[in-house]
Amino acid sequence: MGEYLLSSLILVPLLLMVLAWIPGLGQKGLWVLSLIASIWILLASLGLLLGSDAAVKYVYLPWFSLELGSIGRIQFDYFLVADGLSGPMLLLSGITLVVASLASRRVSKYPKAYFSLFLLLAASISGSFLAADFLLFFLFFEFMLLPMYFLIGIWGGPRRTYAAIKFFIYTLVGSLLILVVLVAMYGQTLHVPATAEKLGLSAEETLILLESEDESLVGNQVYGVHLVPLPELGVSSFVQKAGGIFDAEAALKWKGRPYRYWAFLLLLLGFLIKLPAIPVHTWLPDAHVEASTPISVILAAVLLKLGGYGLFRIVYPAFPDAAVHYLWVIGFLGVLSIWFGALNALAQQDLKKLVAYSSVSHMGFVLLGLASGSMEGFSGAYYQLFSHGLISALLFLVVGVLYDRVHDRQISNFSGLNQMMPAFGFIAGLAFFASLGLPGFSGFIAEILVLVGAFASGMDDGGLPFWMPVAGALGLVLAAAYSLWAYQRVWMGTMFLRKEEWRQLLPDLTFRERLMLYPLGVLTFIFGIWPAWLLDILAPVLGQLHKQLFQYYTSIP
Amino acid sequence: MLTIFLLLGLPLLGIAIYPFVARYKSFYTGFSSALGMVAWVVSVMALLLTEGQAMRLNTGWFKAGSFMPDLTLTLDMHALLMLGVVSTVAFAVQVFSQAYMRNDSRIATYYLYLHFFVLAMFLLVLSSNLLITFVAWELVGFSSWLLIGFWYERPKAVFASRKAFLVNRIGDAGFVLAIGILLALFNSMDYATIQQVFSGASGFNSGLLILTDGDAYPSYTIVSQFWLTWAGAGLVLAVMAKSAQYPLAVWLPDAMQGPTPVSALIHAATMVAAGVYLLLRFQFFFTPELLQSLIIIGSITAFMGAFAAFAQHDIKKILAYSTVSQLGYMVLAMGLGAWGAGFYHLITHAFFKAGLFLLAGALIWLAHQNKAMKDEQDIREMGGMLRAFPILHALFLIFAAALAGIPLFSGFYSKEAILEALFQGQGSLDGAWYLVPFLVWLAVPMTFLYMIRLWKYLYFGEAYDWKALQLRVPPAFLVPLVLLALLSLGIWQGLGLDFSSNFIYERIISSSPFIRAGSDAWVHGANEGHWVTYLSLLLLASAAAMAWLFFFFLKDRLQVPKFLRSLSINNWYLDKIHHFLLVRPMLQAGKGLAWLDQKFIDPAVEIPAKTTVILASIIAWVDRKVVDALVKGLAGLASFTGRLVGIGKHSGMQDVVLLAFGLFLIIMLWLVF
Repeated sequence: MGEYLLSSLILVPLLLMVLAWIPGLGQKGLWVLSLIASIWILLASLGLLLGSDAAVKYVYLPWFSLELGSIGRIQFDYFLVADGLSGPMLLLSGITLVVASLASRRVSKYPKAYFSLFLLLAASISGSFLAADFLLFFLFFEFMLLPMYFLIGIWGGPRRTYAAIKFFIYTLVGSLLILVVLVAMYGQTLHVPATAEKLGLSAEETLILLESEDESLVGNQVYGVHLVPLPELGVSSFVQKAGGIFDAEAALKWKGRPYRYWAFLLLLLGFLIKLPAIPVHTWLPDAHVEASTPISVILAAVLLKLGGYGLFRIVYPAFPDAAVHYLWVIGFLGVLSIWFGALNALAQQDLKKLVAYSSVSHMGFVLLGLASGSMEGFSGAYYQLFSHGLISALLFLVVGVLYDRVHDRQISNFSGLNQMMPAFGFIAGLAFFASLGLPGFSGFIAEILVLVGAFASGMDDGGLPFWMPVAGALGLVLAAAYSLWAYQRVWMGTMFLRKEEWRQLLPDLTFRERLMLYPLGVLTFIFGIWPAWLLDILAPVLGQLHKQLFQYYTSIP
Repeated sequence: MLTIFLLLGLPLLGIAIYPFVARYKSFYTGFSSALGMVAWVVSVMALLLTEGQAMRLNTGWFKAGSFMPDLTLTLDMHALLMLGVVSTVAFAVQVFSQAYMRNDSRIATYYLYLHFFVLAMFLLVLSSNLLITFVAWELVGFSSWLLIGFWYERPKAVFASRKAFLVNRIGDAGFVLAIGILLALFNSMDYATIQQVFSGASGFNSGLLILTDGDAYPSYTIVSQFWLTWAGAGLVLAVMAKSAQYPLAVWLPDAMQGPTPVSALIHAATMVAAGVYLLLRFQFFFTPELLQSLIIIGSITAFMGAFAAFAQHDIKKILAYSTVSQLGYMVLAMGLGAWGAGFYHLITHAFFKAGLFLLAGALIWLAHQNKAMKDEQDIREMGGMLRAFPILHALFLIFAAALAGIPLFSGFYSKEAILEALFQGQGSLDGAWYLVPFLVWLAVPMTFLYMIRLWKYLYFGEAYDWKALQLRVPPAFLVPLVLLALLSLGIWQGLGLDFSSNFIYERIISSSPFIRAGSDAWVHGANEGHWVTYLSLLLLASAAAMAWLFFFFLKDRLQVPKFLRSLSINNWYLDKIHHFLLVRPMLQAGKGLAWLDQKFIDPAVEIPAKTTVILASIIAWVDRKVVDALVKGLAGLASFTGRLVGIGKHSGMQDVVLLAFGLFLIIMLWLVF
């Protein structure tokens, strides 16, 4: 049952996309299809998270393989996993997609194309969170670009073509970096279950053989990169060929650095572009400003998360030694992103751009938490991914409400909106306070965990420099400054609108808007006062990762 | 246990029913005041009936690694006293606001915010887990933001609320620093656990805190004093922001933009005292350097605040600066290790200062009825009001006497305790720092003087004929004012200077789990000569003489140097300094970075893209002009030859075939032979 549920997360949107091609289906019918797919993803992911056999749910089927003669064989699998790392992200995708399809109700330009692409995007999103085979992951990860490119480039704002191509090229460059490592890894990483099967041995015995470079292995080695070990075998993933370029013990070098470090850096950069971190973030403000509201929501709430998810799922577990070696680089980029994003947000005049830069700042906390290498830092970084998904979706919807009405979002063109739109003012205030990390909202839990982890690391000799957590804590002041200032300029103060005719165009929230905004507000609140549920789901996976990293620390606190 | 549930449950109930009954304004406000009264009765009963046993309530919240913030609430004597203060003032304010806010259309929202504040404040008082304290700490700041900016259509109020929140955020960053370090050092955020580590400590030795009880914390038997100082500095920063110590005191005077009863509750009696309360809870923990810095910060604040109160014309601002100054006394006492004296002053100050603010609120409300007035808070226009309302005058005199520290009023006793501690503890300061606390001795007569100045304006001026306006003071004003005036009398303090028979003081120094032993020893027996008492009485007498001289004898003949006046009225130009040192650089950094982002970082990645496009165009050109031209040229050559060889356009197919065949024959022959 669980297996079909996993596949259905990908297949249901795809099937509905085919259904969308039925001639004569009106805009409303198409919209309903997208809503059904989104609700399906939401419910299925919730079912997976709440399911009784909570351990791990997976599908494992051989897909195809390449025979390489005496070298061995490369095998690619259809391997999907819903565990502590992917489960919450799927849930977030489900929530976001439901909200985004609600926000797409009024799309009238080429509706058939729009909703087909939307469904395709939904399928590739759940595919990339579920995939546990590197190639499969990469396929979904890449495939997401296609619908996203068109969704920005056709349904976007005035400079949509520029923004779409910029987004496309940036992400493609990131993907290429990942692809380089992927190709290298498929020649180095051993597919333990398949090798064991071929040798007719148990997984543990095979591992011992692999380490000893036994003669019997020649021609029997099967290569393949699993991001998660097969649960029933209980052996580790990322087993590198002994004596190969990625063997941690052999530590072969190129230009004075082990190959492992190079591979780590390439992967890191690839995912940092997606996250994004300073200085490879400049596609984000353009893409956000030009994309329509639902697409901005998906972009901020889900696509950015793939960058962070990739770090957790691939980069850190594959090269933990390099992660420890470069922790100061990651921490530095994190602090830089926090400050640079926040200061930039402070200077923005466009409300949507402000939110976009605040995303950069918030993603900096993810990096700082990851760099700390501590359990608290990891939990906080992951929690920040989830929480920022909710909060940024909320913020973009808030901006969208304003833009829908008057097609303007310059901060200086509005003042005192609270007096005309009290309900809107309330939810906007909630969103901005959640964004600045007020206790009671999910962002607070995430940021305090990240900072506590970073302080622990900062006080340890082998960890981050102490100024990094201090700078991170001071970043909280800046977050309050830009959020509060923006909110007060637009929603408080004396009533002012740039154009007099806007007065008629600004009624308070409609029912559909309430339906999108209020649940998100409630969710940020729930995850702010009851973080235990999500943290307990995360604990085993992150604990494993922490243990993996821990052995590489030079000093143990 | 019941006390805790009731105290947290009552404001929660007030919040919970808001969505359903907000429409019935008078019901909601009445019900809210009733809830406030129940909370007040509960806390006073708990204070009177308690047997001094601390109660602890512990519930898990969440867990990540070693980060386990349990919801730990401790109800000990200190918490009980503080709860008594908060609930008393809150109740007084809730009753007072019935009349004060009656004509405001959003009065129900106002009461909702009050409930929210009271809830957060109770949580802050009860909590004995650092993270829970921090949560409550931020939430009181948030409710302060809500209430300062309650009239959100006024730009000034909006600005003031933002300023308050942001300055407090600086303190919050310090708080996070402390949490991070303490968690890493002790693996716990529970006060009792941290306290236990310290109780086993035998003192600092060459930069390390040596713990004798190594078994309890085997991996942390030695705690670096370096990290303890950092953590303590973070807490001091948090206290400086919340309790408005210089140089972070700038937000409190602006916070007066909120409704006046709010100023009484939050910005005089309770929230601003939260910093002092935090120092009390963490009194065991500060290293000697940090205690000294607290003495210095407190002394400077006591003096600078009193000085800034002198030239103000806004009645609320005078009281706000006075609050800053008094908070300085409390922080000073904490730095001296006289935590009992500091807490005592917190309690007495809460009552008389809340009383003064509510009284100011009453005057402002009455002045508001006088349509002729330009600024209803300007004391130059309020002249004669006290003479017109004798009840208010009597109440004012009680509160002012308590503030100025006149014997038989509550402020005298608590201030005496602090001065006594200062007299004995001043010697602990090194070198030139020794001189700083003398500022406090200056602040004592200054307090008396600025209150006399206020009284002079309010009593003697004759801006309007107040009696003719026939204004009536509503009973909802008088009830809370009388209650607070009673609490500002000296009767509760035992009248004498023998503190051991003092109702409040006795409870303060009764055992508390969070106190370093022996730090408050000065109380008993030390004050035998009553030295300090004579000295402070002498200071008061000289202040009275000066007041007579300046305000009644010299009057206009006295020319205060202009720079002193503007220094006072502009609060030492701190706003400008902050603007130039913090706000403007921050905004400009933002603009600069946005420019950098647009002009350099974005192009840096766009240049390769553009280069590619240019390269592609060049290749396309080469393709078109060279490669393509070559092919075209060949084709052209062929057609040219064809035309050359061809007999012409008019020749028929047969001629061409004939020609071709002929050529073929010639070539064949040439090849064969």
